[in-house]
Amino acid sequence: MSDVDYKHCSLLLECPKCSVINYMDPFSFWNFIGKTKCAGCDAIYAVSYSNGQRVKGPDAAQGPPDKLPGYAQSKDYKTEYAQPGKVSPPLYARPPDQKHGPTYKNVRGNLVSAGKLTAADLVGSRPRFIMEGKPYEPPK
Amino acid sequence: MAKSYPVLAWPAVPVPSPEEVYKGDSEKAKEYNLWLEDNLRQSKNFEKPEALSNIRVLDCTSMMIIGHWCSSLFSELGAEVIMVEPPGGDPLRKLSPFGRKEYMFKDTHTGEEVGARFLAEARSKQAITLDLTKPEGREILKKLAAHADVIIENAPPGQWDEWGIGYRQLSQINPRLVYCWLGQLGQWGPLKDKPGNLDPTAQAACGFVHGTGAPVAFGGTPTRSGWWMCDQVGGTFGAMGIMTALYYREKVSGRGQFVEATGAAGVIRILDYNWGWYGVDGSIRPRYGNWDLAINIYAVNPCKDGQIMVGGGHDRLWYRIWRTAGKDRPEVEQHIVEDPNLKEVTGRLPHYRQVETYTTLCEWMKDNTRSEAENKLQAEEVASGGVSFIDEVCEFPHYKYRGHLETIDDLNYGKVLIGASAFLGQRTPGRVKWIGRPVGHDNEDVYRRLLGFSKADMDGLKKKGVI
Amino acid sequence: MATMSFEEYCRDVFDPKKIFSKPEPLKGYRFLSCTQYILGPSCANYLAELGAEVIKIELPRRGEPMRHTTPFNEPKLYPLSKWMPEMGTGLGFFGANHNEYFTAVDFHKPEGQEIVRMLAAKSDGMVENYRAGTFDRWGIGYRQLSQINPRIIYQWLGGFGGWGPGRKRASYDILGQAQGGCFSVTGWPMDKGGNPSKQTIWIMDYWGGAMGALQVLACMYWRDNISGLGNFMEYSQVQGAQRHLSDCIALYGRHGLVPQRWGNWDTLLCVHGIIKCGLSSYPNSKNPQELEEGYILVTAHTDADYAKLMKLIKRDDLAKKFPTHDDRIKAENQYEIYPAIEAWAKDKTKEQARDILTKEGINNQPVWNSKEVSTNEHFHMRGELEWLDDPTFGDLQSQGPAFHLSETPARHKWAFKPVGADNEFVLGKLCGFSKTKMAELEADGVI
Repeated sequence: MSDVDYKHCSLLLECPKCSVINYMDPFSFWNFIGKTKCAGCDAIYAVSYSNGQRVKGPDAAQGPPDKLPGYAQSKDYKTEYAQPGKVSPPLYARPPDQKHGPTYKNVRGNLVSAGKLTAADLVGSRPRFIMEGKPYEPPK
Repeated sequence: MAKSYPVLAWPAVPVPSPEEVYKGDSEKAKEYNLWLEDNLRQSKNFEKPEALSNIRVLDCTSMMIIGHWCSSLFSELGAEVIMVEPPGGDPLRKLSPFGRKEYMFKDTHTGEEVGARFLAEARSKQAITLDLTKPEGREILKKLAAHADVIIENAPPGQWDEWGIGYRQLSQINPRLVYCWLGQLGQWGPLKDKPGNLDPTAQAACGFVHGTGAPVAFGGTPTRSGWWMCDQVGGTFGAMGIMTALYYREKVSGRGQFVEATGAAGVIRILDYNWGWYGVDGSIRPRYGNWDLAINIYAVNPCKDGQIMVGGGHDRLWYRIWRTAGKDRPEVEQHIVEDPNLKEVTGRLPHYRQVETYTTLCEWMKDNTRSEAENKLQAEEVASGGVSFIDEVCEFPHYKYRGHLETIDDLNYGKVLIGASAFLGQRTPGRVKWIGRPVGHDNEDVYRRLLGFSKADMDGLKKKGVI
Repeated sequence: MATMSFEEYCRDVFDPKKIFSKPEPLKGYRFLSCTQYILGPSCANYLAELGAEVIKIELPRRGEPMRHTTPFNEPKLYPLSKWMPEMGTGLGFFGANHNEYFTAVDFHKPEGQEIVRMLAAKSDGMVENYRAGTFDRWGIGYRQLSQINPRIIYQWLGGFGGWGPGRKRASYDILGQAQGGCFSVTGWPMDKGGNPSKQTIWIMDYWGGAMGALQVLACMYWRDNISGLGNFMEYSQVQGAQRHLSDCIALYGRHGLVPQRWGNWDTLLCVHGIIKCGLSSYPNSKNPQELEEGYILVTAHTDADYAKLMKLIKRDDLAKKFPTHDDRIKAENQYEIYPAIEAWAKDKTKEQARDILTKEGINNQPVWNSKEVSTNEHFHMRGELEWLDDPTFGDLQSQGPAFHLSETPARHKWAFKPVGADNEFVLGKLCGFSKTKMAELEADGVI
């Protein structure tokens, strides 16, 4: 178990109830007065930040949060608290179910070499499948 | 009535001397630096030739800064640049921040006022007037075209062609002419410019605005640039196109050509990986505020007295940054160094890892001013720098020493502080000779010298409103 | 030609499909690019677009650091090199290395420096952005190369320059933006608690490279038409910021003003600002990014246009209240005008707003994301975006050249190549190395 001491931290907010560390990101919380929600246990807290310093809180409070933490993880670095509704959403360049992976056909369906290759796939410095113009079959 | 403060003459803090700057460096260490100084110092500029002294440019653009920026680059490199404005002057002259007339610059002889944005790009240029909406004005332009190497215009698409002074027509009169049209989106194509399109039209259309500003996740919105950035970038590329055409004319063809550059094309060219990324898998580049999609740590974040940039994408610098923070806040360093999710360089890029990284970094930075943080980081050889305001920029010792800012004591406008020419060079450096000229200041000189007009000619034209 | 409509004429002379049938302006010139990241590479790249033979010299095996930079660490093009096919080059490398020939030379080693000297003897110019004095120490700086080749045009680019109080500082693009003042004027007003914002592009780098390339062209012009002499130039990124903000500097010098951020509005013209539309244009998209509401630039700064706009949004009272531009441009009045326009746009997508405004003859421009720009026919038609049939990596969407020339246009031949892909061509052809010699150098890690 990590012995990092978060007690003197301002933007790294250790929940008094469940000890999950909530990351009060500088975009949202640098100057903030309002309510937030712990991503670990859903407890509502009133906090006041001024110029990055936590000047008040966390004090128990009621009602929906004004802003969610930017991120949260446990003291031993478990990341399961970063879920929708618990922390601010992440960045999306594509739909969430379109995971990144090796790509050999581009957005308009043509050949592109955006996936790993082996030495056998190359002719000199060039991918064989691009030179020959035929679709690539990665080795199983 | 707001309290007015005395304005300190620039520089408010004296420029450091070379002895101060190189104190502590061995002879061997500073030998190269001093060789550079000897070759590049602007104080020697006027002893050196100019690269483009045999080029004449007619800048007929108005209301945008793209054309004036483009022709400034030529005037700095030695070309003779003549601004051809409608009678009464380019409307841009009249613009001042928030309309405040007290911020305008007055001509010392006539009292005529001009705003800073126009004046900043009037450097070393002559100013004549000519009304191209009148046929007689267009005839005069044709005569001027015979004497010009370059003509730059930004009229609505096809306007000059319709008036008989487009490239198709002027190239008949002067086949050596390089003719450049500048604008926001183009003089042809489905989105070609409508009259009145101005920067930031190009910024919005090319994807720049969408990509700038805090991310949606943090409640951010698309943000435009604080200045007419697309004009300046597009104007630079326009200058590159014109310069290429001039070079080819001299070397090979003996002929000019038609050049077109736009703010949108210029910024699309430099919007990095947006286009390749979309092409590979349809990704839409999200905006990420002052953080970076491809490098962590590489961002601007708040600190005690403002904001500061810290950079260090590789392991060596990563650990030095945390070591710096750890000297004041050991728990900050310990947390980052222990976290297994942050071990791999590439593992630090996902969004939540960046939130973790920068929130932790700000935990340390909130207690340090920009200069405190900078000094501590620089002691560990980490590149960092505070977000500076213009007064801080103008007083920054490095810029003052290197002449990035200079005061021109101008005959018409008095002492004006400007951003100097960025073209430092050993043999043919760029330079600024004067700040600008009031409307029509050089009518007499240019019309007489180039077209042989007599005083009577010019008086007649003036009466008719042609000049 | 003379009888075509202007639109047809432009489409003809600037036709991207005809570019390869026209001559290259810098045919026959050779430049060395000993550069990394973006500032130096982009300078050499602009010259390569114009037809110069640009030889990029990188460190062997991993190449230069920018190859390992890509958003989210996701998109990469494979192979990185024939020695490392399982690794790829990130898209950070994409924008600044078109058309070049890639050779790998370790110039920390004396044999590597000798190779650079051999290449420089045959080149018109060198572009480098290593720390000032490094190449001089290695015997391949301007002072040494100009002895071998007096015509050489040597463009050094860097963050803070090689002389002055900051000469030892390393720099990055956004550091240049920060220290140069750009951040202080872009973003949201400080007195409303708003933050400064970087420009999303690496403007100090890419545009700085363009300034460098422009100066190279001017120096070539001077050399080849007037003097016959080479030249040494230094470009510093931070100076670029001061050049951009020259009008702010003039205002500071004369009036002591420190300009502040003004969000999406304009300090010189009103109405000329970007406002929020209330609705997303793609409410059913699976990409969460597309669910964001739209934004649109509205331009109506003349009295007539402004009155028209106010009538359209049913706020004639604001037209009467601010009849002249001097009224509208005042800061406090902008705070009344723009929210009124946003209130009108609250129930519209940016396309609906655009259509209504256009119909009324009011200038506008929706704010587009990278997909909307990519799929708009205008930019592809003009060749400012293009589908590049890259010989190594396949079908890539690329930015096109930034300007159009009717007779000698710039062009993209390929996006870039793997590390050391042109070793045989460059070292064999230009340096006369035999296959055995190259194998030796490779074994020693020189190439």
